[in-house]
Amino acid sequence: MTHIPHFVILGKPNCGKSLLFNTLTGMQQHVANFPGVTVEVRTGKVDDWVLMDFPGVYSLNPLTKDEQVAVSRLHAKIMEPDLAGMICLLDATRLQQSLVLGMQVQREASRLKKPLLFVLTMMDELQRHQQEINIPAFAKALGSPVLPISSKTGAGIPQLKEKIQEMRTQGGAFIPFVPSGESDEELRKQAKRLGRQFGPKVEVVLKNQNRLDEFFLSSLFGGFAFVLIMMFLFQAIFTWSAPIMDFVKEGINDLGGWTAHLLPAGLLADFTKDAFFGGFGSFLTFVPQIFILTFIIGILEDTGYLARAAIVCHRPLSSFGLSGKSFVPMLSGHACAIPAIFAARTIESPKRRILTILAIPLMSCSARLPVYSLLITALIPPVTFMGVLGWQGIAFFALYAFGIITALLVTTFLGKTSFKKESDAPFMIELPPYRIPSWRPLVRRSLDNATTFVTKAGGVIFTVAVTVWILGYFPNGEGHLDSSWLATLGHWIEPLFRPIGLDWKFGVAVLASFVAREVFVGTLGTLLGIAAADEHITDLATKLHDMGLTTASGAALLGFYAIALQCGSTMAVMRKETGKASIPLLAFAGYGLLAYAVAFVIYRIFL
Amino acid sequence: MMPITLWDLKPKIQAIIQRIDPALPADYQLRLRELGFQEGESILCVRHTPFAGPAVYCIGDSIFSIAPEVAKFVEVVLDCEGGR
Repeated sequence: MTHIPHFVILGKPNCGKSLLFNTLTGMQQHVANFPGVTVEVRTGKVDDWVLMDFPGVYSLNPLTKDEQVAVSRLHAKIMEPDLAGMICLLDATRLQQSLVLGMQVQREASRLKKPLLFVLTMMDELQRHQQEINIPAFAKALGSPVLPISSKTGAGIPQLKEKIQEMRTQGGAFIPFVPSGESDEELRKQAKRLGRQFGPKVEVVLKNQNRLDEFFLSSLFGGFAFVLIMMFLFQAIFTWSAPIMDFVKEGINDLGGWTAHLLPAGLLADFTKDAFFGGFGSFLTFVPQIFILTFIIGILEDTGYLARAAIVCHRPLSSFGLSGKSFVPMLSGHACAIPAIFAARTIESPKRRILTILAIPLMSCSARLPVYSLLITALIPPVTFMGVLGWQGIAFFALYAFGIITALLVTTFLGKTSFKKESDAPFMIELPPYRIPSWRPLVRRSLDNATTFVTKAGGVIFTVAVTVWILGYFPNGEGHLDSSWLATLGHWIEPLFRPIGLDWKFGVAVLASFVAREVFVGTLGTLLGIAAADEHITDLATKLHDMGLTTASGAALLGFYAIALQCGSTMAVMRKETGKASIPLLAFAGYGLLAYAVAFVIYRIFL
Repeated sequence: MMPITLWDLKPKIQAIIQRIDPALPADYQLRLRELGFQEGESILCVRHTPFAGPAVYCIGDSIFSIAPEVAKFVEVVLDCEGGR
């Protein structure tokens, strides 16, 4: 049996590993995720060998759970017989820091008798700073071959492929010798010595970075830039992705309608149009938003700005058990929780990442807006206060603020109780250089996130959507929601809603909206005889008002919707990203109970 | 010179790291050392950030941001010859 030779590529974060990996493997990649951690190991084919890209680590001594998984996977791979060699990247502009990991990798390669090649990246940046490294002298001092490249310009890539072929045929020449028993401290001293001797002038390479940080980290201008950038992010995921999402939704609806037309009228046609295609539509519409959010956050990360934003936000958010990097996912959660939960992968601390993921569903997402609009329109007249502020606008703001405050209280409480012992990481981050991002790895990452969502979460979401459809369709078919199994369930749970002044129709609408919150409006409209209620919210609001929906009941329902976790898609993604089914289930139950309690209290206050 | 903590170091002032307080968890200490925060190493406080957030330091050939709950465990003495 022919073994396909494998090579692993490793290096510290921000050393250009992803770009090199993408350059070498192109589209022939596969991503392996590990449950509960953000560790991804990419595998790609290059000619007749395989390259494995491990996550960037500063050291082979792991600090967090994620790093433990990454390092243990790496150790396991190094021990495998099909491993033909290791390629360790050193950032030429950060040689001393890069060599800390480099020396540890060299020691492992020597111990296990594995071929090792060092690759100096960012050579184009080094040249831009008019700095250079004496490669032959450096390689001799290091005791291993060194190859300079620039993934951005492509310089050195053909030579790298040749070297890798050499490693396959003359592996012995690439095995380093490191005296056994060398401690980590000795290796760090060597890294420092070699970095100072051969690395570029520090004050030259850091000059531009310091200048830009004077702006981006200053109280006034930095704060202003932060607000502008976050507004841009919010706009992109809220407004700009909307037309694409609508296009996907309408496309799927049209396809479903056209397919159903080919079938005889009845159960099969209804199932095809509403359950099958409706089920697909219920998760495929999120794909553009996930792609756009991942892409823009990727830009923030790869340009180096995300680290700066995390510094600005860290102190206020850490008081609530969160991280500075929690800000972007939580902001994104106001558009949609699903891509926001993916965005939490940038948070290194597992504890703070889980807490952020739990906080995100409490952000008032766009799916809640139709419910808020309906109830606020029904309850509050369009009157302005002092001729400028509208009471309806104030009510919207209050709901957003309520969601944020509840989220911060929840994370504070959980951080000190249930998640007290969860693996945490101190805030010690490198400020990477400001760089223009490379588009290929960004697009790749965005596509991977979107694909992962479809393959891992899509099944669950589809199942929930079909289940709710079945409950709302049977036993009497389409147009008989008020006598369906869902209505029967609504009658059963009516005693739960009576204490807050609501009847079974609201119960049915709440149950139906567990697929997607905005379904509440359409379902209630159907039960009250308002067709296409999502497009005629004012008509439905008027109907509710005329029916005598009280302020107390309406406010209670608003409080319920602000907190309850009523999104099967969100739960599916939470499960995927945390690796535990218990987290979304406990969030569902916990937020459900909290939502009900809050609704009850609000009802009593307004009664 | 009396040692102060890294957190007390003012912006644009250079210092020499004296020691890392053993009270800091061992794995945090190791990570600090791996990032270059070692005894005898020269360090420059680049800036403090708003809301008493993590400060920014230049050590070796890299720039790091360290939260006060870690920076307070690193003892330094002012480098009278340095300061940029």
